[in-house]
Amino acid sequence: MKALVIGGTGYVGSAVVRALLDHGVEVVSLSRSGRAFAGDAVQGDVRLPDLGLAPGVAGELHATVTHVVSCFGSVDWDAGPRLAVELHRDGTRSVLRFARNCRSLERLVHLSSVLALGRARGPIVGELELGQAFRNWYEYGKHLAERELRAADDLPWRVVRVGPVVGPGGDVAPSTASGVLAAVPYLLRGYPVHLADGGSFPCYPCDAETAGRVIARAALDPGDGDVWTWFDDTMPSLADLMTRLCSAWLVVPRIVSLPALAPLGRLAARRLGLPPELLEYADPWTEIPLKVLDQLPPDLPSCPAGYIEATGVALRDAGRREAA
Amino acid sequence: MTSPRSIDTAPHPDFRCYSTGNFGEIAPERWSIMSWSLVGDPVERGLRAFTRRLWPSARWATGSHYVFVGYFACRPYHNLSALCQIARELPGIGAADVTRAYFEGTTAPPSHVGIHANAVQKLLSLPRMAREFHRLRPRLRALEGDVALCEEQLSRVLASGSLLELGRWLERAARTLDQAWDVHYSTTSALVPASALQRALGERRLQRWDELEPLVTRPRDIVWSRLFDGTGELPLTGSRFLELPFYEVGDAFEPWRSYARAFAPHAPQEVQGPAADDLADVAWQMLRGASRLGIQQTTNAVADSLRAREDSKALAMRCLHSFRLALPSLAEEAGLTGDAWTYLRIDELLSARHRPLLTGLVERRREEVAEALAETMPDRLVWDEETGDRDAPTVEPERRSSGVSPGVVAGVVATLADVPFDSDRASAPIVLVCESADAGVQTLLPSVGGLITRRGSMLSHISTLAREYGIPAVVNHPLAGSLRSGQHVVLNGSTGEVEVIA
Repeated sequence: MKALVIGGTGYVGSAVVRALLDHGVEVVSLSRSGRAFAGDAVQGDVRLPDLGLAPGVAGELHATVTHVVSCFGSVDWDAGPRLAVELHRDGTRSVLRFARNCRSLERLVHLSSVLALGRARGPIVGELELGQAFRNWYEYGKHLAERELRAADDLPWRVVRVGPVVGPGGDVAPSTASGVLAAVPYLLRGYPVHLADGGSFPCYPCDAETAGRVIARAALDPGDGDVWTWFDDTMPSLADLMTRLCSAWLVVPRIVSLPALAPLGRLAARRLGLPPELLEYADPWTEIPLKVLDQLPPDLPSCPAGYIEATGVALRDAGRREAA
Repeated sequence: MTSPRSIDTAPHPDFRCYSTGNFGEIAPERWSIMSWSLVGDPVERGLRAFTRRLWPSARWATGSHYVFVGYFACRPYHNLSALCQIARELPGIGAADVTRAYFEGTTAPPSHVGIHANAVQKLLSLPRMAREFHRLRPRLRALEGDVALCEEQLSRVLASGSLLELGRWLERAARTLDQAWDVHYSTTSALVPASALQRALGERRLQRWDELEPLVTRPRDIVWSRLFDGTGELPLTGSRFLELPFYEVGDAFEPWRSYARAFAPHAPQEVQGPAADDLADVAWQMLRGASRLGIQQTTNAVADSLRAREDSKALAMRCLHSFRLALPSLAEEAGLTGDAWTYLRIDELLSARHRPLLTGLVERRREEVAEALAETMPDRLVWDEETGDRDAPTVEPERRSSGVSPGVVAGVVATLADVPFDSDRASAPIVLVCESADAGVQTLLPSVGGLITRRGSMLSHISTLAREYGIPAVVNHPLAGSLRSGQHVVLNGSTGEVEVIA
């Protein structure tokens, strides 16, 4: 078995590479840098034909790859429409074209996000198209990518949907540059943040390392099930997540439920260091029932206890190293 | 100094800079004298009427010279100086907005000394411009009726063979043609301030407007799609005009045939993957109520105007096609045979007193045309202020490529010489590379995956069409002249970048 992990040097991708190697799979990691933390590496770019691989390399991979895992993409919630169209949609199309050329392909796994559902309402199990609106172009990009995959009837695809990925990481450390972790510096300053219902709604986080193991299983598991939605089965709420992230600094974030503060927050957010796109997540997210986890193989790993607090510690230590 | 030819129009005494601009992008490089008289003259009248409505006392838009257009060595030009002057009379926009919209972002000529609209005059033009916008839709509806009537009457007149009826038809048709060009150029002109306002609002209110603009600025339900896919089949005359070159009515005869080209419709490529959303809807839903207030309405107004512009263009082309059908009968009645009428202006052909002289005139024109066509005509012409000589710039204006329809595509180059395309056998999406493109090239668009042109701007017809079809497109790209069939390229319709990879 030989797996090509596209985006194998990313936060989740590097964990997938290690998990696949643990299963005894030969792994080739594709990244723009052409490096890999483990296994083999090739340089490429999903926006180019044949993933930007040299003709000889592409031909060899077409002949030998049995599993393709697509973990590429940015998690920048502030990105523009180019990210959605050019990277997520067109990049996924390139991956699909590549996969069609793999003569011994057994499985194509695509890493999606519960945010691909945008502002969808009602309990969501495996649906994608609900006529929903989106908070930002990242969500829409993930939506487009998953839509492309679902339309590829000729390929043995499987989608793994996860929520915000946190955790101390392995080869790649967590970062406050984008995603939900971008709120941490603001929370640590002690400014109040408005969350509807005090942030008591679930936000479906998961641990990066464990997600890597789940995605590796999704690649190797021969069973049915096109869409695996997986998250921390303790269902931490958004307020929980923020509180536990900040615990490494012994700070309790000032979460309030004051809708009147929301427009004010939007005006002042950037000035106070809070990426304004995060404010869009202050209302309850898409509802995903816990029973979706029952559809997954029973022996999948669960997120380890304390992974959210460990994320905070990793961020704190990285900050201290940087300051030193 | 080049010797004056009777077929050339006289250069304007004050506005000295001409550019092919949109004519260069969308029409054959050289036009017959008849085609010029059916396009150039009505466009001049239309733009004069437009400026008169906006600035009743503007003397710069009057006089015995052509102000807004020119025809030199059988090549049609816009008077760039005069069109920039329109922008200089409006508040909040300038000549650069005109060049950005229709003249490939080339440098605008300097303002003519002595013509300065003051701030009050500029402000007074605003309500008049708003009225122009308001009137466009009803004028377009009226025009649709007139053009359909014109076509219906022509089929009866040609069947009856009555010369009297034909003469009457021509009078009415000439008025309709004037109206069509008037509406088309009013829309074209009104789009400049509208898109400048849209850009100003977008840049101030929204993040990443540069990425959003091409996504949201697209007309819906464009007339060409309906006409080409048959759902808009014209009941009276059919859609045959689509199969013939636009602008050139003498396309059945040399030398005009060699400049004009039309393409048979291509079957749409089988679309792989899911249907695309309207990204404008996605974008507006992302914005909260207050932040999209104003900008969404302005964008819709611009998109509506883009659609009206294509509608009026289609009507003008239908009108021209009616003339194409009627002119041979008229020429026969005037004792002319074959291609002779293509060397005459419409007023010459209609004027009874010219008839005995027409044959001699045609022969003189043939010589002038032969001489004119041997001359290389640049995209931009400037007349020297002092000597009055035509001073064709030796260096072409710098071209700044721009992405006009977002998306990245990697594909294999094909040119118009490769038509018809065999997209089923192509190993990668076809990237059509051409000098420029009119709605006539629209027939090819369903079978291509990307588009690169050497000329074009954000508001060019081809840009509008590419956005409508969701085809990544780069216009005004310097590489477009040197790319060869079969080369592999990656084009980025957002950034305007084109990379040759093999």
